[in-house]
Amino acid sequence: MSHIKLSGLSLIAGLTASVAFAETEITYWSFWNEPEPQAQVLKALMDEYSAANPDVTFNVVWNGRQNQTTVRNALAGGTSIDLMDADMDGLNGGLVGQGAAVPLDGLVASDSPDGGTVGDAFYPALLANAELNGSVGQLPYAFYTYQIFYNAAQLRDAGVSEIPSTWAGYVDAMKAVKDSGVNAIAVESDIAFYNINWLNYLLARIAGPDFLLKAAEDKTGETWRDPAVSQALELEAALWADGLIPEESRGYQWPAGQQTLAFGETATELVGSWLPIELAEQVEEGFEWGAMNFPMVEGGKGNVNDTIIYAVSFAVPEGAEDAEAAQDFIRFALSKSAQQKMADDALIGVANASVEWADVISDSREAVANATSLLSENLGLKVAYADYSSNIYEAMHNKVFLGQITADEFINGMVEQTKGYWENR
Amino acid sequence: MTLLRRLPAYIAIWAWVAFTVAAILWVVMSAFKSKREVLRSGLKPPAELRWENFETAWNVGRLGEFFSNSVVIVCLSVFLILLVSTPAAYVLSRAKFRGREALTNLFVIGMGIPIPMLFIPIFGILAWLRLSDSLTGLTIVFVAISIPFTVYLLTGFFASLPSELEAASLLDGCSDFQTFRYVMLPMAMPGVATAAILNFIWLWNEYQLSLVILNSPENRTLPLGLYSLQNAMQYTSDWPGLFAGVTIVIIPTILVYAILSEKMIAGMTMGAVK
Repeated sequence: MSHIKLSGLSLIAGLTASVAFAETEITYWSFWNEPEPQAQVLKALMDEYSAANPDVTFNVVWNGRQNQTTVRNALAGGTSIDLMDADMDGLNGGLVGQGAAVPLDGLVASDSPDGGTVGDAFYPALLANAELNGSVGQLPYAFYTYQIFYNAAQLRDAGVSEIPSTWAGYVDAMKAVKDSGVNAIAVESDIAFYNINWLNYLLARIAGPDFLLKAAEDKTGETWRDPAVSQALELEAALWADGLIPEESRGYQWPAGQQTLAFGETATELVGSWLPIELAEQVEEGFEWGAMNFPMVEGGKGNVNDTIIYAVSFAVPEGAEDAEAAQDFIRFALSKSAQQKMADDALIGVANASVEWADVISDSREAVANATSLLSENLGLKVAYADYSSNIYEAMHNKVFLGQITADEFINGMVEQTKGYWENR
Repeated sequence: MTLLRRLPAYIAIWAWVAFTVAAILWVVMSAFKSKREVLRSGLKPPAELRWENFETAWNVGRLGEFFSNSVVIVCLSVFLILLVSTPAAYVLSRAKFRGREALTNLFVIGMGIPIPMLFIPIFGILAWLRLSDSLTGLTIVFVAISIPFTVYLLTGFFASLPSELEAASLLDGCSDFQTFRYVMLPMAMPGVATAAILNFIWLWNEYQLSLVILNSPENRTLPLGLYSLQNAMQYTSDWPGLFAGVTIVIIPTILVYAILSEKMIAGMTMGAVK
């Protein structure tokens, strides 16, 4: 027993004590709220790291999701922050994109405690997403996938024996679910960034993942008149017209939609892989979760294996007093044992490709492993033009998605607003 | 006939009371429910009392620590506010000196300044004093911001007290301070209690200033902690934990009101009927 303990300790020591630091306090401003399981795992990792490096302590500020904004204000006010985390797209469009983060290319190429380099452990597509202008300014450590999550038992009961990979197959499967007496698709009407994934995926499948960025960058706005946009809007409108998305969903405020999934009233929802965790204690025991890739639209230019993700990354702000120590902690947090702890205790997908994910999101891991490419939120629009992405694209789409404007009004509106955006920029 | 005329008012008041009580009951009962139960069982009582929700809010959400911060800051602030405002209000309402009205009006003007306009100057001054992100700094700000309203409120109370008693005590040889301390202050106690309750309630629930001034998690007050808890609970769908947190926050306000409400009502209606 003591031998095992000793081995464990030496393993921790081996993983963490790669560099000796004098008295150091790493100031870490966090993307998580303290009571969240991810924060609890990070706390445990910091304790573990400090145990192996007694001269290193942490001063943590749990800011929650607005962390990057808070960090930027604090940095502007002269506060020194050694380590922070935020969503990957937000960072690429913010601190990292503006050159206000320490380049981490050296860390990526450095030795990992598990052997090989730190970069070797990543899903290649994920690390590629972290790269901006040929340099890595952030390192993702956890992420979610956007997929169609479903109640496997209900699909089985409806006679859906094979998970569809085409749009026609998907619509047929949803019709079968509806005919079995269960609502097919849940949506939250007030969460624009959930609903936008219908259009993101449809455009990516029909016209390829680059189309959206091209449409936004066309200063005349005319790319929005491309037939791919009309087709995508028609396909999502048909889900409502066919009753696959129930009419009452138009009035749903989060979490009303996902509650219907938890209570067995609806079979599927297009959402991030946080859903099984959010509903973990609300679904009945033995609930069988599944997640399918967004189906391929017949004749489209996209790839059914392309998956949209939402990743959370570490970054070291420029001017950090203890940048080296912060990077050493990142190295430790990306090690297999640390990542396994994150996957097991916080039930989230992790960056280290050798780590198994929790059972409820095992389909998500498979999708990531098989992905040809991992797509950014809003297909890169959020990184490139964050204000356009949320104030124009998401806002306009939610109106057309909920039937408040027609497809033509959406297209004309996007043409005009894109033109206006570039004129005012 | 009178009853018939008053009926619409009664209906409106009782409907409002019923709505408020139902909302509070829903929150308190939800605090004892399971995650599955909470969103579908409406006003039904919980199947079993889940005290662990309170444990989650208290320990995981650190409401215990934030509760102590709030108790210390709010009690100290209310004490200091009354310590400064009561004699000030007495002097402004009873003493005769040049500039008294101008000084009183200055306090009234102070009440009219929107708090968000003060964020930057307050933050600047606290940073200069090295008191930003500190409970001491927040207490000073709470006291300073609350003084105009409290002085204004208490000036009205002192002005309504009969001047004969004041004259009698002076004739009996009391000094000005003794007249204030032993004659006028006891008579103004309903007013002081009203000022204490109103200040307690607004400072207990104060969010904006605390958010601007405090940064470190260990310095958070209860409203900031509750906001942090809400952020965390929405990502884990722990609504019962959140409702337990809300219950913890509202209980002291209800207790203070229950204990001091009679004095407060007496204070508010004081001088209304002659």
